[in-house]
Parts: sequence; structure tokens; C-alpha cells
Amino acid sequence: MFTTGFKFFFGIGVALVTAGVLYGYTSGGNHMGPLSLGWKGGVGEHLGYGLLVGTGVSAIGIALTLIFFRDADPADQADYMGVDDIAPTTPVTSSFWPVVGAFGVGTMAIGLVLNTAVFITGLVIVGAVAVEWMMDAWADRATGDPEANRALRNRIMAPIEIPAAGAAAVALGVLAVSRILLNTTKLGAVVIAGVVAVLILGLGTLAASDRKFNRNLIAGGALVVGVAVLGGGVWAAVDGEREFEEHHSEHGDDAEHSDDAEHSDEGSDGDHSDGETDSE
Amino acid sequence: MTMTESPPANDTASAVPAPVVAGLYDALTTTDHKSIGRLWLRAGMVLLVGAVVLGVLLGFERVDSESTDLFGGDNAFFQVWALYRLGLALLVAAPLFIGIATVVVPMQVGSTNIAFPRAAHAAVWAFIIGAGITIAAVLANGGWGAVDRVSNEEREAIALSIVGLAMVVLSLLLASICIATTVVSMRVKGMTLLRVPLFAWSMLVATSVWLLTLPVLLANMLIAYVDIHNGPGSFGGDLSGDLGAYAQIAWVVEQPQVYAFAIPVLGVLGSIVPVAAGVRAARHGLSMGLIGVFGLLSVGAWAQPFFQPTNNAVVRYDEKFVFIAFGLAAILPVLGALGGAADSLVRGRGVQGVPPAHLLGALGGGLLLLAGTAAGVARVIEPFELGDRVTVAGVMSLVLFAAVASAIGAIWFWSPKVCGHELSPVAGRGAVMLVVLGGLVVGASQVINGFFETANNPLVAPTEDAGDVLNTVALVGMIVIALGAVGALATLLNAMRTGGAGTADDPWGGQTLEWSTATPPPPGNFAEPPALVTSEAPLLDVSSDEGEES
Amino acid sequence: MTATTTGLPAAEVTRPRTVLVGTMFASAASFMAFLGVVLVYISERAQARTDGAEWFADGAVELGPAGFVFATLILSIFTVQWAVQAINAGDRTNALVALVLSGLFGAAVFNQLWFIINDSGFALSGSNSEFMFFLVLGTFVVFMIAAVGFVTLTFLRAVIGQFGPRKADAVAAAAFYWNTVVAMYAIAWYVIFVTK
Repeated sequence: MFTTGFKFFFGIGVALVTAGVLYGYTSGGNHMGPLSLGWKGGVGEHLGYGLLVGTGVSAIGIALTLIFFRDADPADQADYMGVDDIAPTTPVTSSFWPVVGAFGVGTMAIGLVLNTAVFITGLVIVGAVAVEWMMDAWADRATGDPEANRALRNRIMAPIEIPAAGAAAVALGVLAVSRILLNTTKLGAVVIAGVVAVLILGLGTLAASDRKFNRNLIAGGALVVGVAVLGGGVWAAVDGEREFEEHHSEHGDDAEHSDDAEHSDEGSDGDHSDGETDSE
Repeated sequence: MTMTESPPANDTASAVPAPVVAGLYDALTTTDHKSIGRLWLRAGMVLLVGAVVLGVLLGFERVDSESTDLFGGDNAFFQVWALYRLGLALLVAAPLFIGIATVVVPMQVGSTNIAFPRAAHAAVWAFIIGAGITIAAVLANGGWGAVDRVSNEEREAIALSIVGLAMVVLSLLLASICIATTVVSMRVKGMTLLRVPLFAWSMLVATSVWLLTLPVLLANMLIAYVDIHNGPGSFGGDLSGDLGAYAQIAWVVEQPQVYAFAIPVLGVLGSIVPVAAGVRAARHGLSMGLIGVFGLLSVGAWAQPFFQPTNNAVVRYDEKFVFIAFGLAAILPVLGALGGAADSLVRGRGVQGVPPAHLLGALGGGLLLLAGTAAGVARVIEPFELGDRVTVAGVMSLVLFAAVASAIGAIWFWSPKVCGHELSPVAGRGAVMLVVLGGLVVGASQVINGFFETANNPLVAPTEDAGDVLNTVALVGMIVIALGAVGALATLLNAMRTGGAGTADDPWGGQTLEWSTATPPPPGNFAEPPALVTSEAPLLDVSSDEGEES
Repeated sequence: MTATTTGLPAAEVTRPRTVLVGTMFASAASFMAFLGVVLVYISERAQARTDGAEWFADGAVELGPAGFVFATLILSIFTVQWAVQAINAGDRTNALVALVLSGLFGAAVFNQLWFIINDSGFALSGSNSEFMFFLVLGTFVVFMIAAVGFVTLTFLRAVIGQFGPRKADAVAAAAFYWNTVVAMYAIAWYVIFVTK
């Protein structure tokens, strides 16, 4: 007859609608107003009346939906599918996308207040996550063999993901590192560029070797490097570039030249243009 | 009568469990509900310590507001005060219960996982990021309004506080959908909705109430945010006077809505006490009804003072019958649930020696909630005129610390499934007792302070000497809570990190399906699918079957 | 690498209704958020009228274009239900056509709302009435975007063959959310454009 879920939500709904009508009459409602949603008379204090009645109607809506499929009881579900029993399982493989999605929403939130470009970046991340999420959900249920499912998913998505992720990582990395190089002194920029180059070479060598690494180590390392590069880039962008001054070289060219370069570039005409070589 | 086909392993200890925290990779990619729940719990416990530290600092300021200025001005003091209040509900109480439910509820209903595990995982990270944005924005002179004029940078920080809190609320709603859907559509064969364990039922009621009310909070924040950015400044956007935008969202930590964060307290009570007493709880359906009624009476989005008509002094929501009736009636289901617990204790084997931490947490939380609803009764009695007094904060303190105490008790109870082994009983008792005692002191002193006409507005100093004395008492209570919270956090984090000695799969003699899993539970939870369930305590049915057969 | 599913075991049967139940709760939450904004609109309007102030100037808000939006949304109710019916009957072609039509109706709604907002000449920072007008319609647009996104996702999943008889939960869920959003507009239409 009436299911438990229906009784609970319907009871709450009716009680709240009744409370709303009472509240309407006791807060200035008149005639048939509180009973007719204001059609024939006043409802009293609108917000309180409306939210009580609205919450009640929503609860009644949930009740009616639940009774439509018998509280989604296991017996009803099995009956619907024409089987004896369905185990309550959710075949879902692990994935980075939920975290990336949360990060995208956070980026949107910050961008909403501070910067439209940041907001759009967050929106793009959330959009990409939606597509990846959909494909993962499809692949999880493609067959009963998880290995085959993973292969199917990768076959479709890898040709898109790898170039896209590579391009995004390179673009972000270049952008962030360039901001850092522009922010620091000339000597510092040289040192940082050298360290980054050595790091890339070293990590590439390690990756090319057959050694197996702890995936926590890889995840942690990637997180630390990513946060350091992006955080440093954002900080440097906010802090601004080091001062450049207009400088006419002996060759007659207009060139930018950094303050600190004046001290280190003495005696070398060719070095006078170094100020702009490390930019962008 | 055969209730289940495979008896649970009541007294078998699993092999010495490894630490349940599998590392950063697991935290970033997991779709296992237990790992997701642990993320919620760690975040909730860390934020609990942060909130009570803020409470202590605010307490020092209130004790002597004329000569003490810990925060550097009224604006900052007000912003931290608002963060403490909103945080205690939205960053502490709700996440703690969501964390416990994310771990326990799927096992209680016999499921291998939570519904929409990826969404549940996204929710916890959205919560962590949202909480981070909110706190960072408040530290940058944000918050939800200001009592003095603010600069443009501070306006942006205030807007960011609103957006951060909106993200927190969205994440709570997403997690609520996952939990409610698990209870409704992921139950094992034979488990009708009438047979779900009381904690799972209380979480269904709580998440349903949150889903029906917290979106209204989102609407309030949307209005305040747009008003700050581009609006006419009539909706809290002018950021000054009447506590700014906070005035529009304060209803979420006031009666009756604040009760919604304590609905699971009744579920914890109904799940733990019968197990501790070793007896089947009587009248399961009635207990479910009481929790449902408490849920109904905690629907409070409608009681918003900010939008009350200003040109008709007669119309004020808290003088109306419905508000008074909700306030008076809310104590009844709590009394009923405590009566049920007392009945179980009387009928059962009794508690031998010092009560375990989980029993103290369940009963302490229930009693604090009783005190909170009793204070709520006083608040709605018109002649007392407590509507604008600090009694409102007293109700909030009692109710939310009831939720915290209950959650700590629940963590200790389900620690074999949460952490992979039992937590230190001594640390548990200490933490629970300190939170219950401190919560009672803080709440009671605030409730009584209201009778001395001390205002709810923190910027208004007490008018009587007794007010200052009671503020000092509240500060002491808050320090006691802080000690308990730090102890609980340290024990929990250490336990998750290090693992522990071998623990029985069911150390307490549990009655519901989560206790038929191994400790720690494997991925998928159940080695074999649970057999047909025909009552709300399937493991007791197995025990009785075994008794009959022998 | 070749990947073939021939001979592999079929995926385990998962619980039906799960997506539908989740969507039911999400719809209720969305509805309450929208109601929260609309009721502040009503409350502010009542306050203004009690104070003797004018809410909207005569002719500032017209019923005609708003009625077209409503008519479009009513048509879309039939198309989303058509999709559910078709997928339950195993008719994927009809389901895809119905889902595309629903999405197009959604796009038409955005277009019409853009016209209404531009035609009003209101400013967000204007009076309380203009501010609330923007806020109610803006909130509706956010939920409409969510509904169109849901239908689009459902369409893509239908294209790759995820649905069929007794596997139509996500389509029914998308229709459920769509209908909830139509109900939201019905409220906005009555409150803003009929009773003004």
C-alpha cells in the first residue's frame, strides 16, 4: 500500500503545508488567502508562508516520486529488471577527475570574484571533467571485464587526452616559469632556468629507465612540483616584473635592459640585449 | 526462524590490519566510500579544532571587550565571530556526520559502495577547497559584512567569503544526495526502508532536511553576493548596519534550523545504546517516527528575520504560533529518543565498569541536545523576551556541541570500520566528556546570560555585571571543549596513520550489517553478499537462530 | 592494439532507479533554491506596495514575450517525455530526435529570455524591483543551463548506445529535472509577468 518513504515525506509535506497556512493566517493573512496561495485574499508574511508551503510541496513531490517506484525497494528493482535479485553494487574505477572537477569549481569561484579569465579557465576545466566523467561512467559498464573496459576507454580517450594534457601542461608551465623568470633578478633567472632544465632532464631519464616508482611518490612529487610552479607563477605575476628601462644600444637598436644587468654586463656590448632575451 | 543464512563472525579477529590510509594517490583518486568518508572526517576534525580555537579567542575578547583587542578592530572581530558561528554548523557538525555516514551507511544497508562514488569524492574535495577559500577570504578582511566602512579590496574579500561558503554548501548538498540515494536505492535484499538501521534512517532524514533548506541559504548568498557586486545595496550589499550580509544568512545557525545539524544525534543514540546494552531496541518504527518528527521541526528556512516587513511591527515571525509550536514541540522527540535509550539500558545487561567512549558520546550528545531543545523552549516563551539576546547563541552552542560529542562517540564506536582498529578508550572517554562538559558550560552560561539582557550582537557589551561573569564562565567552557577536540583529533589522525593491533570484526556485539564485514572492511565491503534481511537487527536474528539450532 | 568486446562477460546488472532517485533529490534542492529567490522578490514587492511605492512602471514588463517562453517550455515537456517513451520502447532514433528537439527548445528559451531582458531596459544596480527581476530570471537561466546540459549529456550517452528498454533511468532522470525547471519558469512567469 503506502511505502515507508512515501509516508515519511508525505507526512512532512502535509505538516509543513498546514504550518504554512497557519503561519499565513497568524501573520496577517485573510479570507481564503493562505488556503489559495493568495488567490482570494492575503497570505500574511510572504517569505515565511511561501517557504513553509514550498518546502511542503517539495516533500510531497518526493513522496509521490518514491511511491511511483515503491521506495526503490530491492524487490521492486529486481522485479523491474525481471531478475531474482540485484546486488547493490557500483562498478566504479578510481579516477583523478573528481578532484580536478572540484579544483575547477574552486577556480570558477575565485574567478567569479577576482578575474573573468580565471573564471573561464575554471569553466573549461569543469567542461573537460564532464566529458571525461561521462566516458569513465560509460567504460565502467561497457563489459564485465575491468581490463577490457580500461582498454576501451583509453582507446577512445588517450588520443585526445595525451596531446591536450601535454599542450596544457607545457603552456601552463611555460607561462608560470616565464613569470618567475621575469620577476627575479637576471642571475636568478639564469639559475632557475638551469635548475628547471636539469630537473626536466633528470625526470625524463628516470622515466625512461625501467625502475618502478611508488605511485604515491609520483603523485606527491607531481603535486609539489605543480603547486610550486603554478604558485610561483601566480605569485610572480601578482608581484610584477622586475623593472626594465628603455635603453638605446650602441648598435642603434631600441632594447629593454634590466637594472641589475647594468652591474653584470659591463664590458660586453653583446650582452646589453640580454634583458629581453629572458622575457616571454 | 531463519533471518539470515550466513552467521557473522562475531568474535574472530582479522589479521593485524595495515594502516587504512593508503596515501596521497588514494586520497586523490579513490572511489571507495570508506576512503572518502575518512577525508570528510579528517577535514571536519581539523576544522573543529580551528573553530574552538576561534571560540576561545572570541571568549577572551568578550570577557573584556573594552581593553582587549585580539583581532584589531570591530570589523575583524565581527568577521571572526560570524566565521565561528557559521563554521561550527557548516564546516564542523555537518561534515563530521557526512563523514561517518559515508563510511558506515553503505555497509549498514548492505551495499558495496555509496551511490555516485565519484560525485561523493568530488564533494569532499569541493568542501575542502571551499572551506579553504572561505577561511582565506576571512583572513583577508572578508567575512559576511562589516560594522564600519570597508575598502574595495575588503568588498572583494567579503564577496569571496560568500562564494567560498556557497561552495561549501554545494558540496554538502552533493554529499547529501549521495547518502540519501544510498539509503533509498542501494539496500540489500529484504531491507525495506522500515528496516534500515536508525543511524542510516537519521541520515536520510537529515540529508533530506538539508536538501530542502540549505538551497534557500544559497539563494540568500546569491542575493547578497550580487548586491555587493552590482546591486542597489538593499540586501546586505551595503555591508554595514544590522550585521551586513550575515544578517541575511544568520537563520541557518538559529532555531529551528540549527536543530537540523543534530538530527543524526538521535540516530547515533538509537544505534549505539542497544548495542552497548546488548538488547534489541524496542519499537524501531516509533524511533524512526521520532527522528522524522524532529526532522520536520528542524525545517527553519522560513524563519528569516532579515526579510520581515519593516512597516508592520505586529508581524514578527518569532511571535507567531508556528514558530512557538515548533520550539515547544522539538523537545518531545528528543525526550522520546532518550526514553527509548533508557528503556534499552534498563532491559539490557547493563554497563559493566566504566562506560565506553561511544556510549558516553551517544548519551552525552543526546542529553546536550535535550538541553538545547529545552533552551529553545525558553527562547520561544514570549514573556522572557529572549529573541535578541545571547540565549539564541546558547541554543546554538548546546545543539552543535551535542552534534560534535555525538559524532566523536560515533567515530569511536565505528572506529574498527573507520580506522581499521579500535581507538584508545581512555582518549575517547576524555574527549567526549570534555566536549559534553564544556558544551554544557558554554551553552548554559549563554542561555542564562540572556536573562540578564545580554545581547546576541557581539559588539554590544553586557549591561550587567553578571553578564561579564557568565562570559568568563563561557570562556572556561570553551577552553575545556578545545582540550577535548584536540585530544580527539590527535587520536584519530594517529590511528588512521599508524594502524593498530588486531581487532575483532565485531568487538561490541553489533546488530547491523556493518559488523558482519571484516576489520578493516575490504573494497566492496562484503566477502559474500549479505543474505536476506528480515528485520532491522539482522545480526541478532542470526544469533537467535544459532541458539535455537544448538 | 585491438579492443573487442566479443566474448567478454556482460557488465553486472546495476540497480535501476539510482540515477532517478539522485535526480529527484537534486530537483527538490534546485526548486528550493529557486523558490528562495522568488519569495524574496514577492516579499520585496509586497513591502513596496504596502509602502505605496510603484514596483514596475506601466508597460515595463510585458506578458507577450514571456508567454512565448512558457509556450516553448510546454512544448519541450512533450519532447522530453517523447524521449523517455521512445527509449523505453527501444526506439533509439525517435529518442535521439526528441532529445535534440528538447535541446533546441532550450536554446530558443535562452534567446527569448535575452530579448526580454534587453527589452526591459532594466539595470542590475537600479531599483530593488529591477535587481530582483534580474535575479529571478538569472537564477532560472542557471537551472535551465543545467537542464540543457543534462539533456545534452543524455543525448551523447544515447548516441553511444547506453540506453534501452529497462535501461532508461538516466533519460527519465533528465526528463524529471527538465520538468522541474519548467515548473520553476511557470512560477516566475506567474509572479513576474502575470501579477507583475
